[in-house]
Amino acid sequence: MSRFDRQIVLKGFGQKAQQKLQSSSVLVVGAGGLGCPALQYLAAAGVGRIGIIDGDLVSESNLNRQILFGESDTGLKKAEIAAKKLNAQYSDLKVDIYPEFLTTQNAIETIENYDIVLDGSDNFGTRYMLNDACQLLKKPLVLGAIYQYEGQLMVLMEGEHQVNYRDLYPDPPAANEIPNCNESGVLGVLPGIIGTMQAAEVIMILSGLGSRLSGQVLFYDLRNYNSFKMNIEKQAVLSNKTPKSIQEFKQWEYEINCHLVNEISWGKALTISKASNSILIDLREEEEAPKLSGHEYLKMPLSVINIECEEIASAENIILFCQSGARSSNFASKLTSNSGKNIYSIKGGILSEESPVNKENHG
Amino acid sequence: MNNINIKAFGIVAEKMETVETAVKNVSDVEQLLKQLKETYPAIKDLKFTVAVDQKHIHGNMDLANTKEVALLPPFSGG
Repeated sequence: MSRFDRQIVLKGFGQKAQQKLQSSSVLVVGAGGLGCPALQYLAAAGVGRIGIIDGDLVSESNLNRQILFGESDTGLKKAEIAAKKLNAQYSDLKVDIYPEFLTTQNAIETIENYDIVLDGSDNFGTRYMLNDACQLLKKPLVLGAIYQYEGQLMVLMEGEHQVNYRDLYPDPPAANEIPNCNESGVLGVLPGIIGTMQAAEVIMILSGLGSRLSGQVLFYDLRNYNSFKMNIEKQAVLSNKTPKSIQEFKQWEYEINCHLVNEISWGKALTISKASNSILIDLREEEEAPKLSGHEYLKMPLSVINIECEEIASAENIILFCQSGARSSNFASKLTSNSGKNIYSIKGGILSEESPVNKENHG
Repeated sequence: MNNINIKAFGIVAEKMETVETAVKNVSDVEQLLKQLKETYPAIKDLKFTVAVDQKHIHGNMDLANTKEVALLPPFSGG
């Protein structure tokens, strides 16, 4: 008897499919709403090796859907916590941890090590980047995405009818055309359903049973159980906006304007800022008040900041704040996309109730 | 003239404030989209893919005998 007994006795699955599954590998991009449930089922099913790439930290607002994490995990790295939880459940599981965001610099080398990729990311920049990388490497990609009460699932670069994301959506939407799930809200069960469907597709493909969604897209509506499925047709003339080689890919600029930002509280920010490799930066313009006092920080107004300056280049942890947290969050997402550093934005900025300025005023 | 059912998804449905509507008196996809964008100006600048009777299409297409057109935007959330 093994923990896979129930699928080994399953008609149409059996020992052979199980062995294939156990000798294969999957890379899960994003340990978020889609990634968490997918990881749990992939691990339970016995996929031989699982890679988890995510540079984000657990935050409290993740907990309605990112079910590998709990209250005590906030502020910790998602990739590391997810791996720890899965390893606690299955001691034989092989997990590779990449606590970083997918970039044009790490994508190719990371994806190359896996048989298949599961897209659980949460922004168009990463989705297009991942699609292009998988396309160049000819790796099957199981893409899942959500919008409010609706989900989307597709199996790309797989089987006989090989299509990619750009066949369906040639160009990324304009910035702010479609809000991400942070802004528009989501019921936690929806990514649970879509992420689980992604895991099912990955298991079907890796075990040799085959995907019935290969080359297709499925839309699913949580409100009424309606679904819509169709074949994705290849674009006769694809826009000239996609990298043609790995070399070109590495130089490509993807617009990553989503919530790669680590928003933290003043309490946490001031703790991190004490480390020698940390810097705390006020992004506000000279005339903006009140000023922070009693803490070591740099004044680098957004209008004049030079991101290649010595202070930023040599720091590992960069903590940004502004008046209300909006500018710092925006700027953090820009810095985050390719830096390899830990970039934080202080939630609510200097005007937040928690800020040291306000705490002083209240005695 | 034929009556074509429109199914809208994601942000397209949100901006149209309905998941279903119908369009009459259009002969091809271009005309249909033009009419929809006049009725629902909020979808004017959105990018979405079109399916005619559940078939993914690129560009324009004749809509004679068409029953349903679906408007399918990309989703980003995860």
